[in-house]
Amino acid sequence: MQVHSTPIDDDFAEAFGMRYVRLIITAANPNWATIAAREATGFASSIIACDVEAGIESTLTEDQTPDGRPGISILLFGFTKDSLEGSILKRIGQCVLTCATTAVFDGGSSMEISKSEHDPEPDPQEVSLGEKLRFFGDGYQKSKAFEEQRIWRIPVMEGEFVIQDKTHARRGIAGGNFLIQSKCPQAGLLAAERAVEAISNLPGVITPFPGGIARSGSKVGSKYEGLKASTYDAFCPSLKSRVETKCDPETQCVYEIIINGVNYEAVRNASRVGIHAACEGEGSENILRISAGNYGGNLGKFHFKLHEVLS
Amino acid sequence: MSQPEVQNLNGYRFIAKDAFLQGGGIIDGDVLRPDEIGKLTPKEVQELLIRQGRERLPLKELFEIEELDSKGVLEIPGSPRFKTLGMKMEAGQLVVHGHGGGFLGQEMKGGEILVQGDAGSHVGASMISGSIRIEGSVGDRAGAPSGSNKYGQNGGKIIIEGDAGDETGFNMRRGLLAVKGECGKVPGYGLLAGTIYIGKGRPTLPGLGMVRGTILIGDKDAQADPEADWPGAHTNDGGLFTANFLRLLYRMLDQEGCLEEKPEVIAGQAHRFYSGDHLPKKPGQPMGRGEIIVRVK
Repeated sequence: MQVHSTPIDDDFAEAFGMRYVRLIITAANPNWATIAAREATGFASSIIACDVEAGIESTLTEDQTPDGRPGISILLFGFTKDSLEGSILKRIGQCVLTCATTAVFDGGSSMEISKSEHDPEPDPQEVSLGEKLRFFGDGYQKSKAFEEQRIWRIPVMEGEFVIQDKTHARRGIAGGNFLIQSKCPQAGLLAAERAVEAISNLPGVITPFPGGIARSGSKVGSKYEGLKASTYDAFCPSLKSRVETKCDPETQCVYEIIINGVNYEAVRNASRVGIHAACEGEGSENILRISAGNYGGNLGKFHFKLHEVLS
Repeated sequence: MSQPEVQNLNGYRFIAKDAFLQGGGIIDGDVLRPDEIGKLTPKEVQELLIRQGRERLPLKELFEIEELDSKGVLEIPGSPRFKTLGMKMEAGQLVVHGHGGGFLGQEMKGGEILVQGDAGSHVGASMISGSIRIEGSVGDRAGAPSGSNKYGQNGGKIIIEGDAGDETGFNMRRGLLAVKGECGKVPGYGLLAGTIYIGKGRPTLPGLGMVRGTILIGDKDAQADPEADWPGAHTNDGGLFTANFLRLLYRMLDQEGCLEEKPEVIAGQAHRFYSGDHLPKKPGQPMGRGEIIVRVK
């Protein structure tokens, strides 16, 4: 199979079931909403060493947010509802409560895209949001119920910080991926940037690595005891002559795009859109092939076969 | 009662007969619940007894009864003689063409009541959930406790498009009580929590004895003279106030048709904040946890 003359490996991406929370951060203007969202989703590339995997899902206009202000939707992925709850409390407490003009709301399950039979049951579980953060108000906090939603108003020096009482952790998918092998690093980076840009416009997915791109994909385990992950040697161009490589003989650079999504179709669609974007554009003649990362199929429940994704 | 269950309820329209129009005495409206009437066949509805004055009459003597295609809807003519219409109803829609009477929707648990006219006192008394919309004005103590109940409105929404009488929201504990027009004396008397919106005028002693909760006064002229002794000695002036939560509140009021301007515009304008009630009550009881927010010019 080829996409715009780039060969697509007959391989699959192996992804995992994780729980996710969607939050909406609003602010007085898009700049402050973006600042808060970036802060809240920082240090959240991989669950290997971060408490969550998180990223910006989409930018929201005034008519898409609960308080009619510009907003950003973020997704945070964790293994359990409890781990997410603890992380969210810290992240929102330190990065958003402190950030000028912001407010935080449950993002609900809206913006979902079509579902497939591969999807995990969403099984929403309640997660405390303002319910615990309210104690920062030292007794001066106030709650207000709007229909079924309860918000907390926490007095702060700027005025009041508004945060919804609860959010929900639903079942999603983390670790969808594809790898871009290129003849030269510049072309590979351009292709990866195009892929991330295209995916960033899609609902229900995030690319949690820096700039959406991972240059250091990892395999499970290490020769060193206690290390959970180590360099993905099969895709390291500099190790082509030393290991059982998956690199093309001409490959000088490999970038991985890792996709977390709210359901199977979201990840599949993002993979398809990303691969197409990577294979078409400036320098795409230097893209040698598109591969996928997996662990032999024994670890992750969700398999995204590249040829099926693109069909 | 879930929505699918509501879809199984029959809908009826009652048309007033002379015995209703010319009769006297209070009519006990508590049997007129769309969720209960809707379970009955037309024949059963006709034979259902209702008290008018000292008599218990079958409904067919007071009303002509028509079946409706709309599921779970009960349409009835109005009368100020009604008492406790829709009492404890849990689902469906009750539409009153005319006066809704007193104690309308008392202890209501769900569903909707729409009154195309005025209503008497104690609208939504001790209601728990659901919504009541009055297109006209209401009497005293809307959202107050019913009978021996300690708490007034304990959830749900009461929307009054006209004016409301004295002690609106007395001992209210939860929910939204919005009055598009003016309120009589002491709205929010003993307010425990929840939100009261007053669209027009400058009510006397709002929030007297309030414990928590919010009273939002939307008339820009209410605070014409900041030096005047208003809202009253029971409040402390907190000065000008801006808060993002007002956006949420005004958006909700806009959805209920309570505003004449865009909610974002109003929320961005100046408001004055008063905390209350600060008058001494029991020793050790925290004071000033309630708030009166007044839109100012």
